[in-house]
Amino acid sequence: MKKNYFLTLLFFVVLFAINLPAQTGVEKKIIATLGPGETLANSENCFLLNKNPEYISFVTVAGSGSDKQYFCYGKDGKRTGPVKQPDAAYWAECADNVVDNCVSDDQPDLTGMEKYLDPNDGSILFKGKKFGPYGQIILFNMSPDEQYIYAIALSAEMKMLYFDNTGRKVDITGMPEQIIISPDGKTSYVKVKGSLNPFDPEALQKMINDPEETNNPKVFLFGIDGNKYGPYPSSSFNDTWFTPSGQWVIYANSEIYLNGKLLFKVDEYVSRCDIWISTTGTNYAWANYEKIMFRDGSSFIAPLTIEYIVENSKGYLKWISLEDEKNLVFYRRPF
Amino acid sequence: MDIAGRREEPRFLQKAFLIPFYKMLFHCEKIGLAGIVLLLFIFILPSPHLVFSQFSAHYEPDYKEVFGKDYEYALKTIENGRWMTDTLENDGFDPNFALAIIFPELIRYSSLIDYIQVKGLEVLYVQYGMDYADFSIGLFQMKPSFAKRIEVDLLKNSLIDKYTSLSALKPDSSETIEIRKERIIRLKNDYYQLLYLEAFICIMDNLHQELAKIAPTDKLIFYSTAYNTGYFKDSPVIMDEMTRKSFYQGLDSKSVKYSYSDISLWYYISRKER
Repeated sequence: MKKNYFLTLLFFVVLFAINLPAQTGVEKKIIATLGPGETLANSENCFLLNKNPEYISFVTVAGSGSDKQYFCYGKDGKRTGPVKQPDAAYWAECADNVVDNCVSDDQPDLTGMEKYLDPNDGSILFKGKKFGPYGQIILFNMSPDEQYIYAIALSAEMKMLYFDNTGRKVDITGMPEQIIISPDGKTSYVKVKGSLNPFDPEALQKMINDPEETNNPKVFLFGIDGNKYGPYPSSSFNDTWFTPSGQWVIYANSEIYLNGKLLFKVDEYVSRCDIWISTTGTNYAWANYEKIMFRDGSSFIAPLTIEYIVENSKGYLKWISLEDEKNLVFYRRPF
Repeated sequence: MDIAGRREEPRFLQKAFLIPFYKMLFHCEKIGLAGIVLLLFIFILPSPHLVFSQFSAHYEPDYKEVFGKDYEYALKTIENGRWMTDTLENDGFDPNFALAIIFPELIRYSSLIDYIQVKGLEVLYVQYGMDYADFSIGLFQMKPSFAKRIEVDLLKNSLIDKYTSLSALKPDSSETIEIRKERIIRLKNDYYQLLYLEAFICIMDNLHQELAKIAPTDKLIFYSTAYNTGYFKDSPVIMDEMTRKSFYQGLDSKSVKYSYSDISLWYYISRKER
């Protein structure tokens, strides 16, 4: 009788284990099982998950010092070694490939943008047209395709104007810190600290009257479309960015907002580099050093490398994890 | 300033000349009176650091030219990071000396950042520990094993008062995922990297008190070599490394190699001569 209970339980466990990946459509494949003492080399690897089919080739190290030896795993899955010096051919495919070491607070490269600005009257000369004069330009940025330019000018009346080269203009207050532009360049937001205009002749008196505003200025976001978001306490405002597909994300108070609407909450700080949102905005995932978690509650060992790709109009998240300290596993999940 | 133009002897020859003096100095520590006699002998005669200093501004290659944009990146990082020099000054360190130790690492960081997938290594370290992934991270290219050793040595050498936060991870106890995660978060933080650098200098000062009075340039060569090769190694081993050319840009280990401490010294002298 006891045996029957055990078999029934085992049956359900196996059924659950088989069904979970099936429900989520996850494909799982063990690429390699590393030998005893083998660890992945730091840089002699090539994981091109954005290719179809994926290109995976890597090197492992065993031992240290003069005993150090290498094993090479080719794209065909074949393992060779040990060798004293690994053949660079194993990672040559990635030699010119710039890896995405996502930097959260990357600053725009404004080299050479002075040519668009007229410091005398605070106007912008762009594509043969003059925008302004609006006073003194205090912040500006340009879209990646160099088709759109956004700037903030301080007028003679000490008011701040946020404008672009399509004629859109928005009055703003607070201290502008950063102009964030969408990938297609057609829209942008400016991150502003505080609600007082620091250039206002009466700013000092206002600051004295409102010490909370002075000591703990809140964060506001002004859109070039006239929308305003905030206030967010500085201590709980984490980040704001555009996804590669052009959706706008705000990460504040442990909440992730997509195009102004709450998408999900996280219970610990997560870098924006570890958050993935599908192009449709219907699916999301986030990772820490231990796990990657999905909207449906499923989770997996944290990826060593991950890519979001669109193949035949369908989105996929592909990643590689090391499981049980020895199995290098490839995952592919509709996303 | 153009220190590259004044060429005399190749740098490594000068260092090779000095090594026997240093070696004697270190070995004599262990043989008592004979050591003291030899120390006196060294300091009465034209001292090696004086010999060394005479050459300090005359060498090549021109590292600015050799490392190009990576050198510029390293310089800009220091120039834009005024907080680093301010912090070092406030904490009683010579910023030029301290930043010279890690200057080659800034060059290396610039040359590698686009080619090494750091995130995966971080995940491996947090999940499986130092034996699985011990890699250079952040601006100063510090390894988790280096950070842990600093934490342990601060406790061991009773230097913890100044850097209580660094040993808060209880490095002498067994490690957990949480502790490793915290250590990685620290190493990704420039301020913590600077604290680890300060702690490194304190530990070195404590371990090598016999170097307190030698010229800063000579001390820098020893300290930067120790930073690069492992400060826990015996002094003769570190000194042997002083002449070794093992530093290169990017990932190609077959490319031309340079002496780590020579680059440190180049930066230090260029700052001093400004």
